[in-house]
Amino acid sequence: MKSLLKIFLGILTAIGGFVDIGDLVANAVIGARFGLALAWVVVLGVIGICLYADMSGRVAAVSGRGTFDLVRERLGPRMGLANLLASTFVTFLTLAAEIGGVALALELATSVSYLLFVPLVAFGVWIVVWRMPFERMEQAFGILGLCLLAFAVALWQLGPDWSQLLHQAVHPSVPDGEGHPTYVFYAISLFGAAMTPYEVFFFSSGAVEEGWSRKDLRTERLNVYIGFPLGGLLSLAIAGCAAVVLLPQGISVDHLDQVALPVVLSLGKVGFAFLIVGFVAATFGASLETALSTGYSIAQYLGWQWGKRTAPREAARFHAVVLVAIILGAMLILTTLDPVKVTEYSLVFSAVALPLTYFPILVVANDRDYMGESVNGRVVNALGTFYLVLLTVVAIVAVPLMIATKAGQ
Amino acid sequence: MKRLLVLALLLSGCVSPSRTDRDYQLKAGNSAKAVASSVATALLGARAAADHRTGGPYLTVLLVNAEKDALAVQSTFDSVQPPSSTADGLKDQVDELITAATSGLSEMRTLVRRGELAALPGLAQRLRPTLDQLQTFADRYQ
Repeated sequence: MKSLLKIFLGILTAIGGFVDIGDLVANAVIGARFGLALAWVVVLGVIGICLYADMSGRVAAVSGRGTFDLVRERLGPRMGLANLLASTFVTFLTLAAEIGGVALALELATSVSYLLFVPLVAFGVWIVVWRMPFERMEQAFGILGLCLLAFAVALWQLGPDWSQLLHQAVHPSVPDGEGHPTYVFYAISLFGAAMTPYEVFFFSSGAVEEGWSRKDLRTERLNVYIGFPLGGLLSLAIAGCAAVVLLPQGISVDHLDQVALPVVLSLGKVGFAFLIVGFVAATFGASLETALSTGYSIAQYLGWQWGKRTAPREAARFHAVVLVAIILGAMLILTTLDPVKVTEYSLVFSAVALPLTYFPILVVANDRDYMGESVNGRVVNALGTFYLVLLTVVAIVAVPLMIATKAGQ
Repeated sequence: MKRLLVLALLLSGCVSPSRTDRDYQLKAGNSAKAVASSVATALLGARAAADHRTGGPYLTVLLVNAEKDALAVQSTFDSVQPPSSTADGLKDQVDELITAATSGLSEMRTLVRRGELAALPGLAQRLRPTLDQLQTFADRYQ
């Protein structure tokens, strides 16, 4: 039981990457437009994030250093600063969207305007960051986030034609009425979401917060190889539900309420209750993840004291950054900017920052002086290099494709 | 500067004017498809209500958003000037369908706000032909 509780860092991190507010809607959008024809991207993303989260977790366990610490050391202060600005901007946008996402989930349950919930949610996020111990935080939101498995249950309950779904997944093709550029745009968004930089910032910093060392490498692997595939499974279940219920009706998904519709039809009020808990836990968990990641990356780059384990008085600047980010994020959402649209755009912008985040991890994970026996093997290096090339291509084409397809319209 | 303006328009999703009948037909077809999506969403919500699978707060949010989306499509489409008298006829046709859809959605929303969920399936039944017409129209002009 004790070792089971240790895997929730991976689960909470994966929730941020696969089922935060932008992903919840994006997965349903994709399912309703392409069926499971983009399932291969989820698989590609899961393998990629497992590979690099494993490297960053291993480096953190062996050296006790977070990812951004390494980014600055390996890229130098100037390139490191460029990376810091790009990734902090994306993480901040995502934080704002997640605060809005929690509020949207509460609106679904109460029909009270989500804008009224935003200040309360922001306060709640700050209180949890300030007061709740790290391990309890990851366990609480990781466990409650599992309520999203309601999507998998709903899909099974809907009794779809499994062979047709499998055919869509293994023989991907662009459906009639959809263009190839739009298909590629959504593939990049999905891939960018799976490998979003704040996941490794949070995962590696979380490993340091939990005091992992070489003897925790097994726990680290369990976190990676259970947490991220579970996130991918949830992502596929959401797309599958949309493919079975919304696609045949010609529904194009724009809102969180439409994402819930297949579960409501299939599992009724009980399923809906699970879904609301899951939505709130996932978006709240992603708010915590992004708020902390903003503080982690800035503090690690500037060499400040950081972390929830350090007494707030000693890590005052870290906590101040987190607090300011939460306040600004809430203010941004109170301007009535659509939280779902914010994450959709931030996913594409995050794709641009991907190679700069993952390159230093690959370099350090190969450094025998740091890693000793835990250095990367040949297969991991080959895969790591393949993904780095892929990430570079994605970074180059992401923004032009967003403009060309009017963000996938 | 010109390029920046074009980029800004693309990113903000502004509607460009229609220069040809074909372009106008495509816009009409896309608008019909978008409104059909809102109506289909509402009808699924009504089905869930008929089966006692959901309550008022969720349905309210679902129907408010469906109506809001349909009204936004209508307003965007109305801002496009028809390029010819043939296109005028098309505009009237789409407008009629979209107006029927938005008023149906509005009635559904009102019923849910009043807590009269039992009346929802009947209203949904009456909105079904509008959905079929919107889908047929969208298929023809896309």
